[in-house]
Amino acid sequence: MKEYLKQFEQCMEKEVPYCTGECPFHMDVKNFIEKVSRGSMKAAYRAYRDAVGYPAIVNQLCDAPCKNVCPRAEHGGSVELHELERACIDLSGNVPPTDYNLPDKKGQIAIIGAGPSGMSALLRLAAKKYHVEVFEKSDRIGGHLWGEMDPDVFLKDFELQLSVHEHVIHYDSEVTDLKSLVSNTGEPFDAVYVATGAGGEDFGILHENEDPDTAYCCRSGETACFAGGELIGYDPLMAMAGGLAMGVIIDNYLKTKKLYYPKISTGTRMCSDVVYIDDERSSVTASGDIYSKPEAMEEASRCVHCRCSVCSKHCDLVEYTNKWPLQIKDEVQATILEGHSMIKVTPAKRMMSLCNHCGVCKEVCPENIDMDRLFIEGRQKMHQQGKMPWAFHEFWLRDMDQAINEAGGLIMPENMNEVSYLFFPGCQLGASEPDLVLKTYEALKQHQENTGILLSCCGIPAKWAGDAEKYRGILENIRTRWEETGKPVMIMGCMTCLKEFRENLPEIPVVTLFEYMAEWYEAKHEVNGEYCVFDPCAARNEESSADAVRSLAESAGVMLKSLQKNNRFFSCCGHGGNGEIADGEYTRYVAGKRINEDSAPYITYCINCRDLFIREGKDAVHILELMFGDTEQNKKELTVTERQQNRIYLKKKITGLPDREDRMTDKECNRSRVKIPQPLQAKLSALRVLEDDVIHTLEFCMKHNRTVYDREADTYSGYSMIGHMTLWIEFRKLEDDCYELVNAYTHRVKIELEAVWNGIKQDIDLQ
Amino acid sequence: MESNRILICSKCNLELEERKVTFSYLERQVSHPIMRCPGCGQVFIPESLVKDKMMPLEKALEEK
Repeated sequence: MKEYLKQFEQCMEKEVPYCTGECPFHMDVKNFIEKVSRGSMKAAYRAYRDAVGYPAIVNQLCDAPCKNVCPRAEHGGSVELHELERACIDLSGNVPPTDYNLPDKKGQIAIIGAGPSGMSALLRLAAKKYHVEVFEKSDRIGGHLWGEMDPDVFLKDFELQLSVHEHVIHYDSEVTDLKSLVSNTGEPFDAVYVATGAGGEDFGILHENEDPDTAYCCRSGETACFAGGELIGYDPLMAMAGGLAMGVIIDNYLKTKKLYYPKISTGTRMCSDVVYIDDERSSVTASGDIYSKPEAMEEASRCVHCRCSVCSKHCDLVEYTNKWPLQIKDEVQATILEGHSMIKVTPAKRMMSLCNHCGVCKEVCPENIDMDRLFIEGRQKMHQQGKMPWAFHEFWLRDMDQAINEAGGLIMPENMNEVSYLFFPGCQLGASEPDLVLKTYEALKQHQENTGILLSCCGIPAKWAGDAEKYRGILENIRTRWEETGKPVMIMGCMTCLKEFRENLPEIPVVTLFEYMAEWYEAKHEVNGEYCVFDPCAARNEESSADAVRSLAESAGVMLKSLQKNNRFFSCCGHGGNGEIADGEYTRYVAGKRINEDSAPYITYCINCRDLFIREGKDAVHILELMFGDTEQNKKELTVTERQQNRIYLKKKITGLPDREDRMTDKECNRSRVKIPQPLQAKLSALRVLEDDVIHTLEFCMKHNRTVYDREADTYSGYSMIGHMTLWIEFRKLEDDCYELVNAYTHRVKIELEAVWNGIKQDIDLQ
Repeated sequence: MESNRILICSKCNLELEERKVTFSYLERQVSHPIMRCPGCGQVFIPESLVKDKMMPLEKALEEK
């Protein structure tokens, strides 16, 4: 778990945008733009001023390096940040500098040189309430700014910004020796900032040592000396940024007495192509010399607030929940912390159960962050702590047990104990299309007589439910069966099973059914029309299988067109992770995105994709349907009961037992005594309730006489626990010991047993 | 209204009355008045209560 959490340290979600990375002052451009775009020019001005110190001077000096990196450059032109800053200064009126009500600090600081860097340092240190004295060798402040801009601009800006801060400037005071410097109070200085300009006096500070973090500073007795500005090679803008940075560096030194003076870092870790822009709005042209407020607001609205959004573009869960990776990580981390639910929150319970485990997050993330594994590990932790909401997975686990135990089995060709090939259709193909499995198995046996079939499940529902132990047990059983049958090549009918086998049973040689059959199978039926092949998420990195499916489809006669996104990213249909009970809306949302990618019918090679698409109204066929000419239109959605019965039917057919024996089993006999109207069958299926569960509840209620009679409706109601779920049924007694189901519903909250109620003890027959 | 129906416990042949019942889900407990048999304690929860009260509660507890 830790390794997956650690990955998030590399997440670029909160990385500064390109423009901020390029700005010498590291200005929080997003904050500035947000204020401009809502027309709050004074607030925007303050944000700008707080970042650059002297806004009027910096705006004149700045050559807008941000424009060179703005992703808007190719979409209507870079955002005119420099012009927006200019407009802010112009439109904000006379905003006075902010004077914070802080107590005076003890440190005494000298600044040598009243150029732009020295003046910037003065501003920050004086604002922190240090005693600051500036020593300027000439009779004026501004240094080389005198040659670069109108003195009125910088002198006014210096005056305005420093107007609320106490400071001392010594004119005509050339310093020749730092040791002789004494402050007005008669005490020596604690720190000296030397900003004497390009080629100026460095007082021996430079070249003192090679460590990059202390290359421009040294100690002289009790005084720390720092060199900065153009003296250490900065350009004028960087020199000002460096001066402002002294506010922190000297402050840190005075608090800790440790010399630490890193160079100003610029840049961002954001890589290119992680920001998506889908409009081409051109830069706003100012009607006058400077942007008006509406023009500035419009130009600011072009900013796309760059942040890495690759995962949100591809991961349906990030998009659906509108939770970004770092929030997801925090919520998962909080959820898996041990502790009783009364004293801690577990906010990611549902979200963790929604991940489709398609793996696209890691595939597209520039830092290869694997949220998929984080969720799997999270589910396991939840399971270990007994906190996984059972309701999300209980049905799938029961269904898996039916597929493995009741409907599962190893069937070998007559008189054979060992085979060369073992067909593993997976648990869902036989539930949806038992006859297709039969036809496929027949074709496989005709091609290679010594082919057996293993009806089972790869255990993925247990893995998705976080039950790692159960999952391993199922895989171990499969390994045993494989060894017992002479270690055959396993022919995989399901891409998810294939993926799990590859990861967890690497010693078993596997081939996909489609790859295997594409080599020799000739379609006996001609199917016309144009289709798209929908690649299931588990088929990522299985190119030969994807190709085989296309070749099988084309040999059946269909025309193929590509699905641009799915065929490239192997996006999930929505079934993966069995998240539907946790939030059916999410499953429909994902499926809706997939089916709207193209209007042509889809060919799938995962039966879950086909079933979900058909349910959501998309025309879709499984590749085996095309191969065997079984492309019946308007297939109806099977109920969960019918699916389980299909598995039993398949097993009986393969083992050669008659589908219906002469004597009905007890179970079948009971089924015939309970009439379940068709609409209720659909309701039960939607609730993931088996018709056998209804019969069990009815029998339980009748056996223990635990029913409630409604005279008016002439119906009986009762309940029983199906796993953790409470199933209520309302039924009517018919003649001949038969019953008719009138209604059924379930709830997840448990009725605390009546034994505690009113002091009355109950029979243990209450379960 | 389902709550106005006359409901008779099959075991005790008594009319159900509204009494407080405790429910639990995901380590938390709540109580609510429910129709139950004064004799044996057999409860009856109508579908309307499941839909209107229990399902939102279940959803809320799953979010906490």
